[in-house]
Amino acid sequence: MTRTWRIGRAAAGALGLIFALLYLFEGRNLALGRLRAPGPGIFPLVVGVIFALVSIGVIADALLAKTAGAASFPKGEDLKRLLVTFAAFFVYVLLINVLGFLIATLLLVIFYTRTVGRISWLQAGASAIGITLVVWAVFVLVLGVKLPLPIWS
Amino acid sequence: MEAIYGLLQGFGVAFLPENLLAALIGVALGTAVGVLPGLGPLGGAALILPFTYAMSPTAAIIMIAGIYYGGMYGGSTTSVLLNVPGETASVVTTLDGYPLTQKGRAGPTLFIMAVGSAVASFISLILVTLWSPWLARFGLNFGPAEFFAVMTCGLIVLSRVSGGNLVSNLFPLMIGIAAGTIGQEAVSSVARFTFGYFPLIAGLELTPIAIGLFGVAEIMRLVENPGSTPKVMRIRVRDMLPSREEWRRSWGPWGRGSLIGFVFGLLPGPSAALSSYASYQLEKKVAIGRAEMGKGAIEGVAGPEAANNAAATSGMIPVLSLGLPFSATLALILAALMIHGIQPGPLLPTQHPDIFWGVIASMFVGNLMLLVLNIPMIGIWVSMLRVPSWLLGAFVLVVATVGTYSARNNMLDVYVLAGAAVMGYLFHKLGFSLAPLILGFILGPEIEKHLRQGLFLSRGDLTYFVERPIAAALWGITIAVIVGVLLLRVFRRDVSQRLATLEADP
Repeated sequence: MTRTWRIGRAAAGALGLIFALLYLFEGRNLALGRLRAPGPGIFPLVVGVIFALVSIGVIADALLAKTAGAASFPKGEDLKRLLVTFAAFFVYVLLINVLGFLIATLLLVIFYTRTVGRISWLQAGASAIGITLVVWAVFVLVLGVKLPLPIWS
Repeated sequence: MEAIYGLLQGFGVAFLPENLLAALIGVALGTAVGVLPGLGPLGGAALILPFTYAMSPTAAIIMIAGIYYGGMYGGSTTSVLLNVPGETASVVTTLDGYPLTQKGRAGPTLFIMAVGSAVASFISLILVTLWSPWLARFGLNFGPAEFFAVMTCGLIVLSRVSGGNLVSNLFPLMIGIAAGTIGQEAVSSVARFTFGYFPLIAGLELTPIAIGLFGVAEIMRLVENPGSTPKVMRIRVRDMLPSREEWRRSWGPWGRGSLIGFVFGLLPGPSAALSSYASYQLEKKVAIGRAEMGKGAIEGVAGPEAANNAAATSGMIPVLSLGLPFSATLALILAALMIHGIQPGPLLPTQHPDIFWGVIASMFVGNLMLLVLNIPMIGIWVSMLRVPSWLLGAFVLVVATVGTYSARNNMLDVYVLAGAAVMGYLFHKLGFSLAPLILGFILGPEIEKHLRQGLFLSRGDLTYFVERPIAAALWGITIAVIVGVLLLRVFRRDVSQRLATLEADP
């Protein structure tokens, strides 16, 4: 547990450091101006440097702290269900403006409720139609939002 | 006098049909998300954000504020009935609330809680009303140096006193501030950090970040551990009336809790959670039933519940009069103001008295509504505990995605939502606080603005930022707090660990 915590936090710090350096690199061309007339580059420079230092602090804390915390990630069935659900959500996000709101949402809800709820196809289908209709009614009829349509329409 | 005139004007605004409806929807949703497993007031407030774009700014703030203080009621209901706190401010309520349920006193406990929460909110609101003109006048002396000091010091103190160690707060804070610099910058319209990708010029939007970090990530934790739908008892309204003894023992804790909460709400930190903890500690020493504390003493529920509601109420003061949110939910309220093009800050009460006093008056109205929702209609919320988590989860995922999309009709925001969801899940697991990320994202651009204005004004003289009296005092207090916390750590190691168990403001 504490091992996961140390490795996880160190990895997060390392990623943060990479981002901070990328951030500083991308910001190198922004005009710094002078102190009496500061340019758009001065604040990002300060932020980038502190971000990098804090990231190093995270790595150091993760590896050196005497009392490490505990991080417990799910295992076995729980982990599988979590990953599958996350993946389904990503596919939904990517496909919503390809398949359109209606089809994508029906598919997501059927898949999600079947995976998480261990319920019958009938129940899953009913929840899918119900949720899709409610959300569609609220956003399209009440709020007048244009929801993504399928690319073929 | 001007406060009473302002408040009367505020009631005029709060009783407009649109605002009454906004308050009712806000407090009802707040109670619901407080009760529902896996979705806290913060996730609820984030999910509602896209809906508020179309409303008037006053109605938008009233609704989000309603979710915030309504969530304090709902979160405690599950603490008492199921020993499961709905949000962190209700953790303390489980200590005596659940034993009371086991003794068969669930109904009266919920009654005492609801009345105490309302009493505390009223006390806090009266103090807020009396204070705010003074605070607003104080704020008029604010220039760039003071704003820079109050925001920077606020973030530093917050990182120091929130749960977890320093880097656990600073790391997300810096991510938030860096993310806030993406897009066109306000002074000279130079595009920054867009990596040549056109949609990024408009900058990142708060909505997908907040919904992803708090709404979707919470659902994913529910997926990981779905549990079973809990069995809850039926509660009949006529069984809810407290005994004379219970009434008598509750007045003291209500009053003390209200004052503690009011003070905590004005300070940086997870005020609702910390104030309920402080109130519980106090009741352990002074309450009539202190011998029973932990085994089902009504004071152990009455005090902390009063405290967290009073804190939720007074927490609005720094937001409305200084533009300074001390928790992530309050940051969303600030963001809603900015989305409507209203500059929060000391000028708000004079330039937009309708918003300032309207929101304060609506909190009186909203708390009365909560009393009705939580006593005669408690059965509805209890039955809501039977909503299966698979149905709730699917619904939240769809509303999160569509709501995010609807804000700008933009797919970039939806991709940011998915990214923020993964980050929210992992960061929570690894013990990083998420509230500083939102605060940094919102306050970062403000800090930059005041920094640059200050440098212009002082012709590049950095001492300008510390030599003006208010700014100097703020920096002094901040240094004192940092040193104080350090000394406290040395002398009483367990304090920091106890604070850590309270965790950051969700």
